[in-house]
Amino acid sequence: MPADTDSKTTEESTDASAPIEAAESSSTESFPSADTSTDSSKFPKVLFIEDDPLIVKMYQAKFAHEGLNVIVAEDGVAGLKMALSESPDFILLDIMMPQLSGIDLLEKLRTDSKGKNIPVIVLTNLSEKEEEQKAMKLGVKEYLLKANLTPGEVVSKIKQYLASK
Amino acid sequence: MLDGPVNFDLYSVGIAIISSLVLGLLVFRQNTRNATNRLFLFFVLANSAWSILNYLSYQVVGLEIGLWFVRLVLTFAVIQSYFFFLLMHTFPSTQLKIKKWPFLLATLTVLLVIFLTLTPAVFSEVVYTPGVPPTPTVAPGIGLFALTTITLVVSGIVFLAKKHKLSTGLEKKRYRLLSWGVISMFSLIVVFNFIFPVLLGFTRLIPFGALFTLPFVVCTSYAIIRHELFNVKVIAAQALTVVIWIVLFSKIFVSPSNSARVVDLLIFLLTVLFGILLVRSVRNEVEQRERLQVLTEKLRAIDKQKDEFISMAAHELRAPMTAIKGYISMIMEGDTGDIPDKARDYLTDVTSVNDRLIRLVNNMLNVSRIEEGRLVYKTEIVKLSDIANSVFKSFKFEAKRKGLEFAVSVPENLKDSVWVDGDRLTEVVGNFVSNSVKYTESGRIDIVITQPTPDRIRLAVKDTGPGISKAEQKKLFQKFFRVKSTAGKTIGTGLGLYISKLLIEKFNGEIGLNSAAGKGSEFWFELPVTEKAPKQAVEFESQREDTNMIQESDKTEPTLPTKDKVA
Repeated sequence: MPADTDSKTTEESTDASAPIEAAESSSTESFPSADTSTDSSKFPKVLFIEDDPLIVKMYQAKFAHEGLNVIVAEDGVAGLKMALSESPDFILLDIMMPQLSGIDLLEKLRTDSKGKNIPVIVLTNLSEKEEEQKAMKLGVKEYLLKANLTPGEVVSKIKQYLASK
Repeated sequence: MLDGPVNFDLYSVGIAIISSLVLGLLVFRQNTRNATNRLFLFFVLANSAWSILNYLSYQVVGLEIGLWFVRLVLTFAVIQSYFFFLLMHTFPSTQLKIKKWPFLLATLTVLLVIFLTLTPAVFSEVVYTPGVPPTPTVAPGIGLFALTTITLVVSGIVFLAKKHKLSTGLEKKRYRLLSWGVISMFSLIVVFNFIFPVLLGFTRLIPFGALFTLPFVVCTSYAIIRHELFNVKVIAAQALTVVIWIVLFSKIFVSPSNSARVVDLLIFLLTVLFGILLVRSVRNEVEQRERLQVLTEKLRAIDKQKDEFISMAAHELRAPMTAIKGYISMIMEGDTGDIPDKARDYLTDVTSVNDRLIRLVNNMLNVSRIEEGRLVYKTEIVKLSDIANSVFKSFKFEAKRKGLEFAVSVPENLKDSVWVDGDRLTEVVGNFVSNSVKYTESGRIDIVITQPTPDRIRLAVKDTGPGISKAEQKKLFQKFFRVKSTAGKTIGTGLGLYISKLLIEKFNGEIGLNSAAGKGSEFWFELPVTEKAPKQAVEFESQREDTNMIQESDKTEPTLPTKDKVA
């Protein structure tokens, strides 16, 4: 569902400055703000597995702005490797990738003890119910269509899941 | 006419030989240039010669000619196996399919053996004992004969088996038929020419060689001629008909009297006519059915292609739209710093246009799936008020930009749980609002939820737009229908309302429109209130349980009052 662009504001406002405050306040809610620690390990590490460089660039910018430590894999094979070696706190996974598809990656990930419990959100433009069901069976938190969400909304979902862990 | 057992022997062998020759000629006539057809004819000729000689060798009991008959039986036996070997290699090609050296070797060896069989080197003499079939005395040359014949036959069989295994489809059917013919022939030959005589001393059926090779001749000729239509029904019909013909035909010759003979002849002719008609109709029926199957397969393939194309197109189109949506949202959220009000305005417009594009792609994907019944729904319990509020949020700014008043009205104490696919229902409401925003130039748009009865919940989107005439109302929910906008705008694909209707009806609801030209419009739908999921919950349901809760709380803003009004 195409969403309102400044969903974070709680009041009717055309004041341009309001959104920035809202964004900042939500990012300091449950996470250490930048000044309390220079140790980047305190920031949750998100593994973003996506092969489209344009999308990667966009999300990276948003993640940085929202205080998430992001590592990127641009294909399934690298993604699986990083998932198992970098111990990410969260994984954002694309489905349509060359060599190793998101679903295949998930299957392999879940058979490894290191990868069994990492929370995963599928972020794709493929709206195939079959893939969705396969993904849900492999224990993903959500199966989201990229085109239906803004990066900001994705970030807030990740934060919600991390907070509720 | 002769009487007694001799008559029967001659009779059956005669028929077998004649049938083989006829088939051989038919096959040859079908295509005189084709190597397969030619080889088959040669085989049949050699086979017929062998059959005749085989039979005669048991009838003639004089020394000189008898020996020659017995020898010639072997001669034609090796010639037969030679052509059998070549035929198995070549079938079904038009050219001889054997390499130069094996061919030369085989041919030369066969020629040698042919020569030898005509000399005392193979059969030196024949011993006639009363009551016992003629017993030839073997000489050393028999070894080479046996070796050659067996090698040729075995090699031919092996080749056939290999080709059979590797083939597929229609070709495989032909090879299968060939294999049956070969198996029958050799089983019969081995049993009656070797096992029975050697183990049981039963030599009675040895002269019937022609009958043993007949199955092979029949199967092979069929495999060669009928290379398009290959169906058990047809073969059975034809075979049965031919057998009846043969029996009736031969009956003519054994009729007791001339008048009976005339009757038999008449019966035979009628049966021929009937048989031809019958076989033809069976052929037609089978042909049609096969044609139908082919078409069905093609249709299925095209359908699948269409699906894949639409899915792929949707996926590809979404990628750039995602980037547009994402970057603009980030600018609007202030990631690039302050932006001027005017920039914000324009960006809001771009966002809504882009969202329309995204909805469009989703709609086209969904229409194709809904129509095929392929759309899978995530049915769950949703609160209608949540959907109304979320749609309100989405269109708030677009409405404001157009200078329209926009409000959502949800009364207290509402029983508004429905058993639907939340995303789909959101699309329906979004579709109503988007239409209103598109066509209303001034005034207000309201999303209103009411409870007409305790078990029904109603959502309506009212606007103060131009309204829709009764005439156009009738066609409104049809595919690709668009109301002619007075401003001459051509927006949308005309799919939105069509999909909405399909969806609401799928969820056991009703959808409709109250409007009159110049009096605004009210698009509404009603759904049955469902507090708990029906017993036959989809398996998918249980996996989504925990994500449901998060989604629900997502939709509800903490400070959103039940009544909301745009200032």
